Amino acid sequence: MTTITAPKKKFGMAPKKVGAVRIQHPFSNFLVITWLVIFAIMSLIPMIWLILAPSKTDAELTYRNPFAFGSPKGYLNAWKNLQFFDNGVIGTWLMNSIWYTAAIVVIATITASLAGFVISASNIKFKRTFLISTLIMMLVPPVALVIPLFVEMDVVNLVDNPWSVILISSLYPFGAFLSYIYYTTSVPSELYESARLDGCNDFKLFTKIALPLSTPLLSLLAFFAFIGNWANYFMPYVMLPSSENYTLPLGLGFLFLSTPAINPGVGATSVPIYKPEIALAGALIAVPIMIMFLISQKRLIRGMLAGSIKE
Amino acid sequence: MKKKYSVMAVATAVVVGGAMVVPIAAQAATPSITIWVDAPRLPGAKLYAKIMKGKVNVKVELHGQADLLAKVQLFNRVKKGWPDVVFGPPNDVAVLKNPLIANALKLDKLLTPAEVKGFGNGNSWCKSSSGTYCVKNDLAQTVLWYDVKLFKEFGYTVPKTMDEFAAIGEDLAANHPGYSLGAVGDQGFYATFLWPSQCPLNQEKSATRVVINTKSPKCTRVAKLLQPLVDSGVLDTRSYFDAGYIKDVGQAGKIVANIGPSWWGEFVLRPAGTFAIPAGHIATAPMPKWAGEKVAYSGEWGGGIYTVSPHSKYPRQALDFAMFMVGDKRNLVTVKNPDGSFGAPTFPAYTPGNALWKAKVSGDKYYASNPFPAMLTQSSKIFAGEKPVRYDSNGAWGAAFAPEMTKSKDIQKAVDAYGAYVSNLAQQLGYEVSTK
Repeated sequence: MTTITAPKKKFGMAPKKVGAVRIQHPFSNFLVITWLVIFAIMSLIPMIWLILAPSKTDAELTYRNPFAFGSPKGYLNAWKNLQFFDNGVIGTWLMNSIWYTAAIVVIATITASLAGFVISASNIKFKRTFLISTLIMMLVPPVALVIPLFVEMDVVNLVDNPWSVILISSLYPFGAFLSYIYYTTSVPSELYESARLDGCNDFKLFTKIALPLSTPLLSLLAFFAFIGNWANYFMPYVMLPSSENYTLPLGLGFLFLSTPAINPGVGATSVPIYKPEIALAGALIAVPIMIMFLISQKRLIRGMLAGSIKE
Repeated sequence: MKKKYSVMAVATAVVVGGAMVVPIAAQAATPSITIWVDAPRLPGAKLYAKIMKGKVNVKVELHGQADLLAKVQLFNRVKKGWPDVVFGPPNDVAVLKNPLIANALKLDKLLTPAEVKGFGNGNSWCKSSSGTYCVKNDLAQTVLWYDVKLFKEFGYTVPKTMDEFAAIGEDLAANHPGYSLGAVGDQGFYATFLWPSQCPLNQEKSATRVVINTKSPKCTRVAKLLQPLVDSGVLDTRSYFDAGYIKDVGQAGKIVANIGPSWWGEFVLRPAGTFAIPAGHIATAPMPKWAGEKVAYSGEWGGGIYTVSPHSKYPRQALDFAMFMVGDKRNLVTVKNPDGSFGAPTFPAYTPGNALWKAKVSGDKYYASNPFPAMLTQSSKIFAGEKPVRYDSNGAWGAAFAPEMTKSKDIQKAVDAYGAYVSNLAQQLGYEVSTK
């Protein structure tokens, strides 16, 4: 077990120890807690504002206290205005977002865990080259690839097809690298060797040994794939010109750009989209991420710490 | 021999028959067009698709304004995907007609004489030395908006010249502190003062030359006349859309008059979320004239355009859609909008269209008097010297003018900052920048 050394005596009192756990000086505790509370407040204030904003009218958002609650009707009105646009097309965008993201999460999680396993534990050649290529891919910003990707998708006739977004977004070099770290540090190499002696090939090694031990990794991969793609604007913007294929962030983006709520220069519009509607849409996009985080936080923390301590 | 003649006869029949059949097949094919519009234009576009069902297959797509500029180079690269007709912001035409992009069809041969006549001066924005490259959807000509009750209370008459306008400002500063003649901290300053004064800021003379001269007397007279009003606070240095200005001035009922575009009353003065000025207060008047000028020019703040793609197989059908949007009663008056209102939200650029649209505002009890006549007067007086340019002339107001105005509160310095910024942009895009 790792040992924790006692800090030097300060403020006239030595820290108490219970077993290996250090008990901080009350003043240090106070500082740490204050610091955490400040950060918690800084994180919570925008979220609270976001949740309260749709309860007010556009005018109330200008003159009332930012944390005042308007009325429950406010949410209903904002939702009606969003929903009323183009006969509820927002529902189609929401469904598109759900199915594109689900497909990306499934494909990206499977391929990234396989890739990480192959780089770390298989016997193929050029493993180091693959690893370096993965790292390089992580460094390339998506914007730099927009033209080649668009041309590529055009060649395979997938422009304006949801699969263009799904396939491109499923390329997940960060996930592959994360898997590589996991399979290198959390699964003992002796286990792979024993399995090979028992006759396992690479595929069986993955399915019978690595995969059953990968639950925290898979949760982590799925979580990051979800976060990265649920609110993704850029790739659907480039690949999907037809309204019926839009995702929620893309459709709402086009809708909001046509209103003075975000773009005062637009000035005149007959679309009832104001600040409360935009706040509600922001909440609609953010809430699934929050829920996903709350559901998976235990697994995430376990996954992130996996392999950090060798016993 | 007989056999030979038979073969010739069959061959002739096939050729003649083929020649007859091919055009018939081509005529029989239903034209298909793809339309890109923003959210406010969507109900009209969908109505058009419904009306044309069976005659033209119309695919309507929702896009943000200026979206085509972001996408057109991708389409050019794969040589497909261009929409046939697109609604966009006014400056787009300069970029789209640029040979490097080449996505604005020259419309001179497509527009009928009646259509050209119907636009009058309303389509001058789309005309350049090389031809007409777009159709203007709406005009955002500036007029004077004033509060009749405050004018009566303070004993003012409607200003006919800019000097009279400034005199009202001086009186407000001296006798009614806190009251305002508007804000000058955003792009509106260009549309409402600099453009009507004919200040040369974006005067494209050819595809390779633009005139930008902030030291022109037409520019310096603006600063000279209005700087005292900025110093006294009668002209606010914030943006009209600044939350503080909305709360402290607009919603507090402190705006005595301001110059604004034709959509100003419906979308800024009236709504509860912006200035919330009550009914019975607001009226319009023609633009005040700058000293020494024969014409009281307007500027423009907005006013969208339709461009037709040169790649369209059905350019006339694409143009027909644009003409439907600017001239058909079903779009201008009848179509139901997402907010429950009816018809086009803004002043149509096409004269027969604005005659139809007139009833929408003329009978509106919100206004103290009919605002339409002033709008109509100014619709033919938009100063045509300012032109669409390939650089982002609108974005430069936020990037260069507004920060300098906030910092120094000096109009001339802020206009100079804008001039320097756009000169740089223009040169980067290959324009020769001159002062005359």
